[in-house]
Amino acid sequence: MMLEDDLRAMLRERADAPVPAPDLLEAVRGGIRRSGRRRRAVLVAAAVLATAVAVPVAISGDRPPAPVPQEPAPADPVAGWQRPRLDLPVFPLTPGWTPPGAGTARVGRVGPNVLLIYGDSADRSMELSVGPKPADWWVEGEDRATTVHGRPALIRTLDADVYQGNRPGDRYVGVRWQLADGRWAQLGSGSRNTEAEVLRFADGLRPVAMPPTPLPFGIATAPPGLVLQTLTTDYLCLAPPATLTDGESGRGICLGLGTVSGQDEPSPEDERLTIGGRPATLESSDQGPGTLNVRLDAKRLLSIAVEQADVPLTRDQLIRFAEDITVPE
Amino acid sequence: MRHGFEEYVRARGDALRRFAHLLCGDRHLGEDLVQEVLIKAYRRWSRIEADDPDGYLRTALVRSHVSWLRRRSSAERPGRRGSDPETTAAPGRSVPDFADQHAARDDLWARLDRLTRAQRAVLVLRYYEDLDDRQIAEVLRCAASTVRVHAARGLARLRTDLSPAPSTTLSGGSR
Repeated sequence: MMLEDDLRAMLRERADAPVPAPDLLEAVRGGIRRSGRRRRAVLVAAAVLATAVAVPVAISGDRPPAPVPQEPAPADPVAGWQRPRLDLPVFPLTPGWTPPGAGTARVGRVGPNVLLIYGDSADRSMELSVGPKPADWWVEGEDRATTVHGRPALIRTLDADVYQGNRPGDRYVGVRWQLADGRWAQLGSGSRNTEAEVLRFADGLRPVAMPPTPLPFGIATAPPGLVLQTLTTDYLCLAPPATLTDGESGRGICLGLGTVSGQDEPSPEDERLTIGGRPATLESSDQGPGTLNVRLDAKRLLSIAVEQADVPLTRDQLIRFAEDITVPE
Repeated sequence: MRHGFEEYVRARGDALRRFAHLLCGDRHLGEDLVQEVLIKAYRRWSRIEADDPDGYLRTALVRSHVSWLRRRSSAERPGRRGSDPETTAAPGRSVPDFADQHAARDDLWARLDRLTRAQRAVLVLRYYEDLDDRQIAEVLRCAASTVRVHAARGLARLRTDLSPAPSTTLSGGSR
């Protein structure tokens, strides 16, 4: 039998095998609730924004007026909340050389990994991660051995001819090595940086700490005990300390600043609100409120997503949380 | 949740899962991929539903999977290769003679895992979905000539890559 025939038969045989049947629909429902924070998690760097202005407090809705409560007014939904005291991540290495046009580096975090992010230029974007375990490669590609600071390293490269969201001529270059203290460093570039430039950047890193980068949002009040679980250029998450071991972004309460697009059209089921005079929509599920999207202006959308399993919040609490967020102008 | 969307997922969910399994080579990754794509599709379902939802979702699954900057830390699970229980024989397991053909197909399935995502996607679209190169090119947003290159390289590797030594990462894992 020809290989092609065998391949066709094998694929059909595999496809016809009984499918274990977890409830796909239920899983998708849960995912829709979290979709806001997932989308924000992959946002690329936005412009550096300077002046902070408060989102004024004002909530009005086009929903029918709430029924007059027959019981005594409930307690303040955010009683016991406080201004979060967040330890900003410190990056343990300082670049000695950066590719021309790379722009300003920002220090971030995803769980146990601290990040150094270059996102000002699509041509020069690059990300360096340091953590207790080797990070994932972004792509499949060709691997070969190299050295960084004389230490064994692995370099992976790919010149993509099939890709999504990237431009012809972009290439992936990744480098992974282990630091003297046992932590793993991984550098990834998916732009116009050449392999030589990426390796030169890696070789130029010195064991000197980089100062923290200010948070992209102001948070006036939050449930007590939360820590900074994720921080990138325009995205952050507050979550219980236990989540710091999780290398996935998006735990707890996550704020992301993105651009308005057609995908952000509200669903009919979404609740329409006005926050500080700005239109907003709240996506909820059986588990409670999920994502609150606030259209800051014609271009910018602030999304606040809640992972209820990490930080249970009521609708009123989420709205109060949103009211006290400040966003750079 | 929109009623039409729920109906579609109930009716076509398993077909999407099967296709994603072939693309990813792993049921769990395929399941994640289907969920991710459906979640995104939900937001624009009214437009998708009015057009060609099967075609839209097939394209979305392939593009999402092939995307070379698809950054999902759970996507490249250590030990993923060969970890699909359907392809992992117990140590010392003897293969019955009558199962030779089945074993050969298991071997072919395992060899598919050594192709690039683009090569694999092209072969799945060509030999499972029966799309021609022009249609595959539209799905992958590339030229038909590129599709042919992927197909040729993928088939060549399946023919020759009978027992490759796995490459080793610094962490000691193999891929």
